[in-house]
Amino acid sequence: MLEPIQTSPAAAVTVLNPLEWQAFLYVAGELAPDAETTFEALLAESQPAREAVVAAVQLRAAIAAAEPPSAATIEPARSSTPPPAQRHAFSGGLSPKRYWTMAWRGVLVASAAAVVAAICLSRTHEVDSVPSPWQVAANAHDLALRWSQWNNLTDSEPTKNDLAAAAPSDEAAAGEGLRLAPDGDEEVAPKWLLSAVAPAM
Amino acid sequence: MRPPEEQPAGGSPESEPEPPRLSPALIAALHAEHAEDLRRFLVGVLKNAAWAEDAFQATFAKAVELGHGARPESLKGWLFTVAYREALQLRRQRCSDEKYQRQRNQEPSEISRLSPQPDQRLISQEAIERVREALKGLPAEQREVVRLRIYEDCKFAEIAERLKLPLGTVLSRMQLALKKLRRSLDDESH
Repeated sequence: MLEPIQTSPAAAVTVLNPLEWQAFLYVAGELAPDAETTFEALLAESQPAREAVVAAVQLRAAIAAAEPPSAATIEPARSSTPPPAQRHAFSGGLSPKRYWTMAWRGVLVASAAAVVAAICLSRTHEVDSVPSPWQVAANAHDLALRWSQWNNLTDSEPTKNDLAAAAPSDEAAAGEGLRLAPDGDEEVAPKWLLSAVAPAM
Repeated sequence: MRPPEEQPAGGSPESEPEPPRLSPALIAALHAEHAEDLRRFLVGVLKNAAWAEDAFQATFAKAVELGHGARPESLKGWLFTVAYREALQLRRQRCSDEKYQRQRNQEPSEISRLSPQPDQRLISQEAIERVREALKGLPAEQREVVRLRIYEDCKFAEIAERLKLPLGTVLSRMQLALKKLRRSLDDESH
């Protein structure tokens, strides 16, 4: 914390008129509270003191308005930097170091949340989506394999009872568009199996 | 003051006589002569252009009402005294208002905010040009102190810290610079 300057006309370097210097410090807000009170008491009764304030404001305003281009070229970054009060207002009252630490943490947390959300979304998509051609092919092959195993089983033990118990009835199969191969023609795959396997073959 | 019998016909006999006031011509003359300086003075005391304008208006309202009581030869001093009192009253009033206090703390110095569009009532374009020329003529070390104090709004103690100089050296450089810049403004008026 920077303390205001403890100046008095006697203590100041006597380059400027002491009253002018005091007025400049007063206008700049650089006087200590005691010195400011003293100077304001002087303002209440001294017209020269008031005129010194007028001159200080005029000079300061002229200097402020006359900012030379060289000032901006010496340190361009600094001249574009807002005053400390504005900088702190921008960062919500945090110091710059603390502000950027908080900002980086925020970025990391947001990135992690985005990755988790992307994973969840892709899984949901997989469950809801239509089976891919590769999945259809795998199912068809599986179906063909199972039918082949079942057919081999019926070859070794060709009992109609087993077949009737293992497969749906003719009526039920006809109702669903399924039809078993006729007797003596077991080597031919049923049409329903061919139609199921056909897209993948 | 006009005696009751001289009142125009039709006027109420019970109505109060008009209080004595400064003539409009005198008020206009006072404004023309002192308005600029009064505004600068009020900005210096209040360090806030909007408050200064309020105090300025209040000062002239008082001048219209009570200015007749001042001696003509000391009207300027009387006007500044009124302005100072109005400024202190306004500052007390506004500083007790938390909202105004917060607003003031957030704003940078009103005077330093005058750049790059200066208030023409505080400073003329010609004066700005003269000061600009004078700034170019300053030694680099003085110009650096001026730049840090006025354009960067650094306190003198902070400048001393940044430049690694004793505070007294910074203050004397600023005074030397102000003296030269002040002279450039004085040249304008002569």
